[in-house]
Amino acid sequence: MSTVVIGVGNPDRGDDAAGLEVARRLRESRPEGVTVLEQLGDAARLMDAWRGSECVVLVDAACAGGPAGRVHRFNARREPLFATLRHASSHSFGVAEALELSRALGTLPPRVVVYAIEGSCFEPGAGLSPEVEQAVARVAEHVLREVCLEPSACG
Amino acid sequence: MAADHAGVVQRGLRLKKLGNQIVRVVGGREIHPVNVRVGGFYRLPTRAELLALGEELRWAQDAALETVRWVAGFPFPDFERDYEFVALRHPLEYPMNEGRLVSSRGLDIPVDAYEDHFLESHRPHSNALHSVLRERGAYQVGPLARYNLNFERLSDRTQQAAREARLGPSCRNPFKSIVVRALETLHACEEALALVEAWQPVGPPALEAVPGPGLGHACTEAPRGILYHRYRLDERGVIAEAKIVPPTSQNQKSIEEDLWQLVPRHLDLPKDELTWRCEQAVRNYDPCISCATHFLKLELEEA
Repeated sequence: MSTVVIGVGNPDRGDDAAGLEVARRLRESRPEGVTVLEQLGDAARLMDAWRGSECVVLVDAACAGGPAGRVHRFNARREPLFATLRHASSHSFGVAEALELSRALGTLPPRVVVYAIEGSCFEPGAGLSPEVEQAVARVAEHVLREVCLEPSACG
Repeated sequence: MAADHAGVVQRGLRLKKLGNQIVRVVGGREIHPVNVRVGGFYRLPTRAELLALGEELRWAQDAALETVRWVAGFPFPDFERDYEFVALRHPLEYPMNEGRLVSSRGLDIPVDAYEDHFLESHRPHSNALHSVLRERGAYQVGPLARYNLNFERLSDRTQQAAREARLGPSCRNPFKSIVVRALETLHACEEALALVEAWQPVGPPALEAVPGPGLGHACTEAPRGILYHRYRLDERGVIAEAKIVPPTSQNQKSIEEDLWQLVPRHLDLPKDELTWRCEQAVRNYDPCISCATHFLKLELEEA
């Protein structure tokens, strides 16, 4: 069964690129049978990307008031993300809308995991902050284990 | 809504996706297209790339027509006002990218005279700039304005669909703007298909533009209404001054006046229904502030 990993973010706004950076690192490890995508967070495109897949892992930047680099992991199959993610993710509208719309339309994959990496700097043109850079490496490793080595853990 | 009307939502998403595909083919990517440059485009799409959109565009025409029929069946409040409509008018086409600025009360000016007739200012009670016609005040831009001022420029099929939707060549009910938006989608799908089928890339993708001093004005019909730009360039061709007037600021005063007229007529409604009706009145204009109307806070002051 197919697995899709989607990094969500804006490449030109500092820590907002965290999800994209995780996706790039994953692609370098070429996980077998896993599609790795980078997206800006548009709800319709996200829904298209995970349509028909067995497991989707979303990685997004967040701004939830916690320290930069803190990582949240949600099981979106079990709990609606609207309440939790709405105030956490910088693309919450796109990601949360896409998840809930997909759930209502019955197109949500059986397994849905969301990683949110808290950022501190979202300035245009800035790079990743050091804390987020470290978190990106941790999340990339974790996602890789999750989708390849322990596929049953995905969900 | 997705739970109760899955088919309608899927149709809408597929229409939206087609729009994104068109922008990707022409503009290089779906959001913030990168293929546009001063003087034209970096690269012209090939005939095959555009023809590949044809099949989905044919589906989209039918989907747009179904959408017209669907929204025409909505219940609409009996609410009409005598707006001054302002839109572009092109000699032959339904307006989009060029033409003169005309209004339902006789305005007929070239775009570079925009600032002689329109004034944008801060209002103490609002965060948004308000734009008025210097001589007459509030005006309305967007689907209803385009439709009322350019009905006969719509395709035959779209005019026919309008008649079937019981919408004449003139419509002054802002709640029915959703029907006009659907009609415009039908017209746009027909136009797009005709353009795609006739496309032959000829000539250079862009005209040469030599940087230098100058002043430029332009007006386009964004979905929400006319969008005005003015730029002044210095001797090096660097932008020294820029002014952009978005449609939302031009509709701001009409939105407020709609609310002033609407609320007293419906004071008998329960508060949540009245709030809902007010939110609709704002969304009629699809303003950039529509996100804010998710949590419109209604405070009734007993007089």
